[in-house]
Amino acid sequence: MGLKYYFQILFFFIVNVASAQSITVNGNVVDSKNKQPLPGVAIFAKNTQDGVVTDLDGNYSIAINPNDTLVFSFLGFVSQEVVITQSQTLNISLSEGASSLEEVVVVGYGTQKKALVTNAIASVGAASFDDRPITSVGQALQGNAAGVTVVQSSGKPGGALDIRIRGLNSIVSGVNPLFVIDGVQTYSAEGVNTDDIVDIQILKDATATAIYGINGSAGVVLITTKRGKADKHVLGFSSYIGTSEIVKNIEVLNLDQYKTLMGELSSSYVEQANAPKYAGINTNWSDEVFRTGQDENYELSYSGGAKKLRVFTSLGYQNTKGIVRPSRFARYSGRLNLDYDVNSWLKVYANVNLIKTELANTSDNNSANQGGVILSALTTQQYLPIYADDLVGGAEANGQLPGQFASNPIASLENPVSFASRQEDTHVNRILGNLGFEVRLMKNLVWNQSTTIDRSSSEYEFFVDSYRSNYGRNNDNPDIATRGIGRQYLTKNLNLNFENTLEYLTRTNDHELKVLLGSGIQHFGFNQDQLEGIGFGLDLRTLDLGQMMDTTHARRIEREKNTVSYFTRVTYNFMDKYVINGVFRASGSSQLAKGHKWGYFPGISAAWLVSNEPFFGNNELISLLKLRAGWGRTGNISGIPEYASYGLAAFNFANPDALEQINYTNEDLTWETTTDINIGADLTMFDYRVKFTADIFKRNTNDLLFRLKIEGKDYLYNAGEVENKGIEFSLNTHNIRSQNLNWNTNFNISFLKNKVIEFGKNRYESYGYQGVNLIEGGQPLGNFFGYAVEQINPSNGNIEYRDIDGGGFLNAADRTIIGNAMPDFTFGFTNSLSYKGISLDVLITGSQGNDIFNASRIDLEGMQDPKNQSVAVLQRWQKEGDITNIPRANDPNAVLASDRFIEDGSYARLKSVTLSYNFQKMFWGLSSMKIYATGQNLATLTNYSGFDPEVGSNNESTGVARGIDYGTYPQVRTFIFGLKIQF
Amino acid sequence: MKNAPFFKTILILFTGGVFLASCEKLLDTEPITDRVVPPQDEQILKTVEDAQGAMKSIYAIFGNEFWQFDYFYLGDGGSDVAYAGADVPEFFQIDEYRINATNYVVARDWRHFSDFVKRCNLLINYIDGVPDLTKVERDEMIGQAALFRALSRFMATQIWGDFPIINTTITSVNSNNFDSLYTDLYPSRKPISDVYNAIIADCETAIAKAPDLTSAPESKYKPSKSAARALLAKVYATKPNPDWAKVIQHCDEVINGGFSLLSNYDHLFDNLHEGNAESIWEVNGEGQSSLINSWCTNVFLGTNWKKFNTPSHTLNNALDSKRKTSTIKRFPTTFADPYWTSFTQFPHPWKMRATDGTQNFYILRLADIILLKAEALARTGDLAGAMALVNQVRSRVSLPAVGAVASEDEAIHVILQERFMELAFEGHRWYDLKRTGKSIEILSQQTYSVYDPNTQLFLEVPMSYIGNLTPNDLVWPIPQDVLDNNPNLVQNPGY
Repeated sequence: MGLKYYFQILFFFIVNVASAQSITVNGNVVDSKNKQPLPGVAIFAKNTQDGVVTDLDGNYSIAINPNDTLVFSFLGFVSQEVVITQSQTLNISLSEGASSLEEVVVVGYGTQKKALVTNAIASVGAASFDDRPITSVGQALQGNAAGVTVVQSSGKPGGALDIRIRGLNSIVSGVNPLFVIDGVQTYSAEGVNTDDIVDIQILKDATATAIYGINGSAGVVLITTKRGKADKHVLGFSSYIGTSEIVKNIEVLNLDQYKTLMGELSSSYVEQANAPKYAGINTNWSDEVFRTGQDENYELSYSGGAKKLRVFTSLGYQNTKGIVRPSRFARYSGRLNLDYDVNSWLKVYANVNLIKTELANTSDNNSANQGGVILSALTTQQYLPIYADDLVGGAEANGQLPGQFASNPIASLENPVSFASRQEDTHVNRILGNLGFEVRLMKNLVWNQSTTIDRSSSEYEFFVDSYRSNYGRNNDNPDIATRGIGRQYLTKNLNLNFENTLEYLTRTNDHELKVLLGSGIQHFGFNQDQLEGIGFGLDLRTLDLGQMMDTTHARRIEREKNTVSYFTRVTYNFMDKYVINGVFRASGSSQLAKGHKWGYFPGISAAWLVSNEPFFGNNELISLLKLRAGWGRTGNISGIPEYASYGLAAFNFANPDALEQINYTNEDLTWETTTDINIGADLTMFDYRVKFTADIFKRNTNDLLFRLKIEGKDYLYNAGEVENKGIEFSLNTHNIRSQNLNWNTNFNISFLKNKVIEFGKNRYESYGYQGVNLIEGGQPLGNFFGYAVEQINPSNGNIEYRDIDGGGFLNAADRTIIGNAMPDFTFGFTNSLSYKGISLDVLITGSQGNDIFNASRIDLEGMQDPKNQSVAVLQRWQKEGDITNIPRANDPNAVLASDRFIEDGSYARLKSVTLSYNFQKMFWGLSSMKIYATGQNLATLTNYSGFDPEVGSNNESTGVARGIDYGTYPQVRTFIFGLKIQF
Repeated sequence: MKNAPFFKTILILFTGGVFLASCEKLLDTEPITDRVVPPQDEQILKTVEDAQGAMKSIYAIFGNEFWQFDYFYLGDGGSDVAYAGADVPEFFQIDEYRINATNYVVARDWRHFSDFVKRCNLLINYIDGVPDLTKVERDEMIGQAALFRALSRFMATQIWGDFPIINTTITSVNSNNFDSLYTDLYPSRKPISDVYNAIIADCETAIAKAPDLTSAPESKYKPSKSAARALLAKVYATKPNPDWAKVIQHCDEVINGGFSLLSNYDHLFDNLHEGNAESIWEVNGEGQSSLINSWCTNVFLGTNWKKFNTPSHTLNNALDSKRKTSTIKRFPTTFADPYWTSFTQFPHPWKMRATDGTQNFYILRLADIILLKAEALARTGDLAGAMALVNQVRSRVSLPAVGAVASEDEAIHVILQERFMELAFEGHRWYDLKRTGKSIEILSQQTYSVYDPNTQLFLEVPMSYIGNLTPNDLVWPIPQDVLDNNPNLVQNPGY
């Protein structure tokens, strides 16, 4: 505890009110050969590590001291140095050739020369995603960075993505990385327009993320958006339109095959199917449910400004109509990034990002009984019509009313069109903002104060009308006031962060020392108003709470949490040969009980630039060889709720006064702590044409959070240990480099092994469908647990399972480990080929060695009830002597979770192909113009029999339930055509 | 900005001020809208409202899916009263005597019983510390909670046999007290005899402290002294080594306690006679957003989807005309069943009829107790007395009296058959058969009717699954996840 007071005191002692003069330089950097703008060029004052990077259009702006030397450097190009005496516009053209070590990258709370980086950091530039029809940052990362696994668990527009950096190091806590969007620390990058992004840095190891303390455990993704440049005015417009479609469907039985099967189940089901009212009806439910999706995107941006005031602003609109009704995602975004150099010692910067998203959800990853549209489309009986009007004799003659969905004779089932008619909309308004001051207190001392806000308000509305569906009619309840279901949740999230840093830099000839001190206060507020009710007018089709007759549930929840942090980083560089980097953060959290609030997170790393040693000489072959090593510690507090140190009582829906406990007190709770060791090497060869990076790491997470169910109530506690170890390689090569023809490839591959070294108080925990994801000590996360099929008995068609416990009969002890959802490795492979103005970009992603539990097949091949089944059941056992792997109809044991539903989920996918043309000659005053066509998800190599091997889990929020496909909304194939112009 | 040093100083002081003022205080947040449970060993119930809240959470037990659904499914669907109905594999398992330890119904009911007992413990353990209650109020609350606890344990031990006995209230678990609370957190099962001793003690408490019945129908909606006596009678009849004298004693107290059989059998179920003269203890459904939303009817009755508990041919054939009218309702549906292939006149249970959450149903009613006393008389040699009581129940539905019986076993058969007809779809059959030791003998003979087009006759065909039933199936397995995580538990044989 004393430590933080030390920091506080330190903070106030370093108050030296001296001032230094500062001047601004801005301009544009182009390739000397083709005069094309060069994005990503590093620009910095010599002898400092502060710098900027050119944007997509090659523009930059930097503030320096008079008589500083500005360095322009870019991978594969010759660096240039210019001495600056006054503010000016400086346009530079760089020529290809021998390169420099001077690129800078953004790291936590600052930038660093890439060559001197001591941590494991991956970079993804805008060029690798800006021609693709993507809606989120996660999609931008997919396949582009080693060690970053992105699983798009559903093809739904606006659907969530699982972003995992270096494996899974928690069981119940969130494992999504921390996003830092222009300094705004948040757990969600949802709604951020990828068109606004310049580049993304992923901090992977604890030596880099420890500076974020309790929030750094799952990795940190730093997102930098575009900024304006003085006297360089660019008005840009870009747009694409396209369509999407389902890639693959699953074939189901036709009506005759269906009736044969029903005959083996129960004659009454056949009688049902043959009922006169269904005569002549044969509905293809897939045709009724799937449609062609549509994509459109528009962005208008302006970048520019005067010498002292620079601005980037953009307006964007994106609309994606999904392939399954009613799914749709639309986003309206506006951004204003301002930089103002007030005087020689004060700079002000402000970013405002306004986002409005509209999401219409289609219920997926769920059985037909629970409203899952996808499984319903496959299993609904074809003899049913959509509407009761189409029954033989019409609606009234069959006890229904016109316009109602035809009732399904199976319990709780509706048809998929009925499920899709439910309204489930989420509208979010979000503002991300940042106001900062940069004060040069002394020549070498800069104070940065930043206040960030991330505020979102969302409106979730669910509505089932009181007329069309059985469910909505409350099973034809005579009381009209019980028909129709409405739900509205209004949620507000507030995330305020107030941070101060002091950065001190000193340098002599051989020594360079950079010290960062900082402090931060972060506040999270959450409130939610829940309102649910029944009784709506017969004609109402979208929620109108004013018409609600009876409130069944009303509740307000309000919660808050705060953290206070002090942090420091010290970087020492000796002759650009040895770099040592130490970080430390102390964080206090309001979630934890007194005496347990404060945690301390150190990290230390070092790099040895072997190629700068005299003995290395002037090596023709190797341009750069760097060895890196680091150790660090980070925390994860995201699984600990706001008031974890209190025992809380539940709200009783029926009776607000009744006392029902929901969780138990644990005053000893603390965050999960990850200790991380990383060793890496960077090798650049052949005149910077080949760049190779390798990292090996081991991450051990202790004090895992566990949720013990005591009589159904939660008791959170810390215990156990999980280990992730892995190797990552990335290889960038510039295979062909000539005036007209250029070919770049980028290949990355990540191997990961995971193991639960020590488990908590329970013997195991299970998650996911039928509890098939089982976690226990000594085993990797992601295991599947179930029965092992012995045979389909040829004499009676019964499925028989291996008698694991030797008990002589089938019981729960016969279950065993039957697969694992974790891949052995994942990879991404990018090729960029350009000839004059024509470019071809190809992205291939893949995953190898992971199993999928195809739970959809339990519903599609179970043969338990009158649901339609897939054509796989044509191979079922039907008569004595049949040798097959599909049991007889109506075998109650056929639906147990077993290895017959485990499939190899490995795949390699042609994720995206873009063909573009950059006009070489301009007209109408355009400065650049590009047209392109992109295909996404063009082909997938896999043995997986379901819609798509990229699956998440069904209805589990934790990261450990995974690899389960239970009617997942499939990935879509998208074709777009786009245009980008600049004035 | 000429005053640069001044400006910088102000900025720094402001920043520093914000920090100094806030840091430590910021870290002490308290729940805003969430309700806090006090630490272990602290008096949890403080005010009259707290006590009433705890009492309400006990009453809410009857709105739980065990009482609304599983109770009737096991009692009737699991026996020869009804077929499974619906289309849910886990319920087919119960119907067909092939339950396994991962069946979710097993898991949820185990959890519910632990929860029911816990709710009662909360009130019983802390009610003495509520200063503003009168002694009468306090006693009545204790008496009621005790009877709810007795009922919960009674059901649990009938389902699982040995069952944990937990009397403590755990609110706060942490690393300091985890070990001391361990035996309550991970309880072993206690022998049936211990469980029954606890049940009997709670019934006695209820007899002493629970409220007396009044003339108001509402007094039947809560545990009363009479309800406690009736339950205790059944407990003595059900426990290992039944105490028939006690059964007779407590049955007599109830029979002479101001109750009478309704002359019209249908009035018991027509929802117009709630809290009637025959009712001893009933569940009072009050509608959809009330303390007890009685949704049970919708599970068993309706046309919108295939319902649970399809009446069996055996029941249909056995019922007299009066009771059949009140017990089974036939109407057209869009679904059929392997056992009732015609869906033009598909049968449904008809003892629950209100679909708006207001359905009441009986935990105990006089006919049940009269027949229980008959059972006790038969067990103690008074066969004639037993038959007289059976005939009392039969005469209400205008059935002829049964003649004299020759043996205790014959008497038990007659009583069981009468209970079968009288109490069908009230959740009794499975437990009645178990209590009398007739489960396998009777349930192994279940048949259904199949029409033979050649002979144009209905043939009685044995149910395909009756061979599944073994003595092991008369107790449920311990849920697998509970078993796996509690080293103090041993699975029942056969699972």
